[in-house]
Parts: sequence; structure tokens; C-alpha cells
Amino acid sequence: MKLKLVAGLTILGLATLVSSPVFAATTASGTVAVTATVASSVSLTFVSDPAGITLGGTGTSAATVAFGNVQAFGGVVPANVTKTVAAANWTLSTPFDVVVAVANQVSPTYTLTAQLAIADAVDTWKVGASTITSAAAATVTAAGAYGSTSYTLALTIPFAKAAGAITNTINFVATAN
Amino acid sequence: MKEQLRQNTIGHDATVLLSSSHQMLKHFWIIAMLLTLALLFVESASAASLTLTFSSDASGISLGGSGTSAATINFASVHAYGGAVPAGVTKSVGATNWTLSAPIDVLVTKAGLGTSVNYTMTAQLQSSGLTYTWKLGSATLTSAFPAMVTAAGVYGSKTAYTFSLTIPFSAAAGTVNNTLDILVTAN
Repeated sequence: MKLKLVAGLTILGLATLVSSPVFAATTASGTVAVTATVASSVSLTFVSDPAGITLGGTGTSAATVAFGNVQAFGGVVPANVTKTVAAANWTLSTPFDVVVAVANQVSPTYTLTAQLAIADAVDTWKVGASTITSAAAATVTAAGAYGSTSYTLALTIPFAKAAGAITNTINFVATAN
Repeated sequence: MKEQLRQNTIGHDATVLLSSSHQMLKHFWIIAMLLTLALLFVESASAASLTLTFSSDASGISLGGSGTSAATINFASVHAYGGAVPAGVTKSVGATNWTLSAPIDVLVTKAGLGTSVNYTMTAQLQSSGLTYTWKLGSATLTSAFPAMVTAAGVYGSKTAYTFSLTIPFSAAAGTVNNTLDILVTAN
């Protein structure tokens, strides 16, 4: 009886000891709530085509094409530029790559349009099969495949045009379908 | 002594405790010591505590609730391509996804824990975030279980952890909402 009492009180003491908070882990908690609104977007960049003229700003959405000093008869053209001389005009042409990507939107294809920034009633500008003017955006493709696509830029200069600098900008817009 | 015990035996075999005063005294002190130790531990343990707070990192996004244990990060409207991100947020665009990241500061202080040299910190998402990849530091977070962010956190000084959210291009546009449950435990 005496031993049972001692044992019982000992167990009680040990239980109090073991159940004390010192044996429970000391913790602290907190929260970080995160919110964002993800919007769909499209990327359009230009890249030098392996068979085309070297673009300035290749890989960006602001590329440049510099034909340099050119002439209908004789002279030279930059590497990978084709000069074609016809009866009343001559044409410089070169391929360049258009890269379009889409994010956070289900879209099978895209529409690509192009429009000259400055009116040019003398020369003829073409991207692919589309003649480009400043009057309205011309559809280059209505079912472009995402990724890289090669398009040919062609600039046709009449023999009647006076010598001088030709400067213009083609504004492209890619729209997810 | 034994003779005295036999004489005090009651009919139903109960034995009246009549140990010597010496043994009673010894048992009393053992029990008293154990109970005293227990009480001492209880008293000292009740003073032990940790505090956890989050604050805006100088290079990171401005936290809502900075300085408290309930912070918020609001990336607002974001795009993979183009657009803008809040100050202190870095946007990285990959081949099939894009990531928003920003450092946040975590401060853990202790009291009454003289023997604890560092802390363990875990993080767990409240909601399943399977579409996106959530990371705090190098730990990838899920709602399935707490992920170890650090097993040896330093007390008393702000530690910067980079929070990152990776969004696949294939994820639909829309609102992203989730909460990180952070738990720190004294080691």
C-alpha cells in the first residue's frame, strides 16, 4: 500500500513534469496572402533570317533594315539581298523572320497586319504577298502559326524616281485569334 | 516494526500504513521534490515565446501588413509579355512559363528560450496551387504538407527570402489567390 502510494505520487509528479509546456515545441505562425491578376499577352519580335539581310535589333520588336547605297544598274547589295531589275523599275527583297508567341490564352493562330508609318506614293512596299501602304493596315496573314515565320520584304523603286534616301517604318500588329 | 504491522491488520486484509517515521519522511521529500521540479518547469516554460513578423524588403515589393505576422503581396495586373510589374518585382519569361519574384523579410525573435540557438521555418499553401509553382527561398510550396524553408534560422535579424510565383503560358488568364501559412519552431 505504501509502495503503491509512493509509486502513484511519483507517476503523478512525472506526468506533471512531462506534460509541462517546456516539452512542447515553442512556435509562432504567420501568413502571407498573395494576389495577382494574370492577363493574356502576345509577343512579337523580328529575327534575322539565315537567308536574309542582317537586321538591326534582331530579336526585338524594333528591327531595322539598312540596304545601304544601292542602284538599279551595277553596284552591290548587302549580303542576302536580292536585286531584280525590270523594265520600268527595280526591286530589293530579303526575307526576315517574324516570331509571335501567346501566353495565358487559348489561341490557335494569330492575325498579322502591317502599315507604313509614312505615306509613299512612289515606291511599292510589300511584306509577303501583301502590299503595304499608310492608308490602312494590310493583313499579312490571318492564320499565322505561333513561333517563327519567314516573310519577304520587297521594296520596288521606279526608274522614274529621283535618286535620294528612302526612309520609312512598317508598323506590325499581331493579334491572337 | 513487522510485529506492529501484523497487529494492525484488519479483517479484510487491508493493511494500515504504519511505516516508520523515517521512511515516511524520505518518501515525502522525494514526492515533494518531483512536484516542485514539475512546478518549476511549468513556470519557466510559460515565459518561453517566439514572435514572427514579415516586413517589406528594401529591394522587394511593398508588403501590406508589413511589420505584422499577416502580410499581403499584391502583384496587381500582370502579363507575360509587355505591361509593367510593381516596384521591387522581377519578371522572368521562359520558354513555357514566366515568373514573378520579390524578396520579403522575415524576423523571428525569442524570449525565455536561452538554450535555443536557431529556428526551423516551414511554409504551406492554404489552397492547392497546382497550376502555378510557388516558392519561398528554395522551397517549393504545396498545400499537401509544410515545406522546410530553413532548419537553422537566425533569431533577431531580418532574413530576406525570395518569394516567387511561376505561371505557365498554358494557364488561363484570371485572378490568382493563395495564402502561405508560415510556422517557426524553436530548435
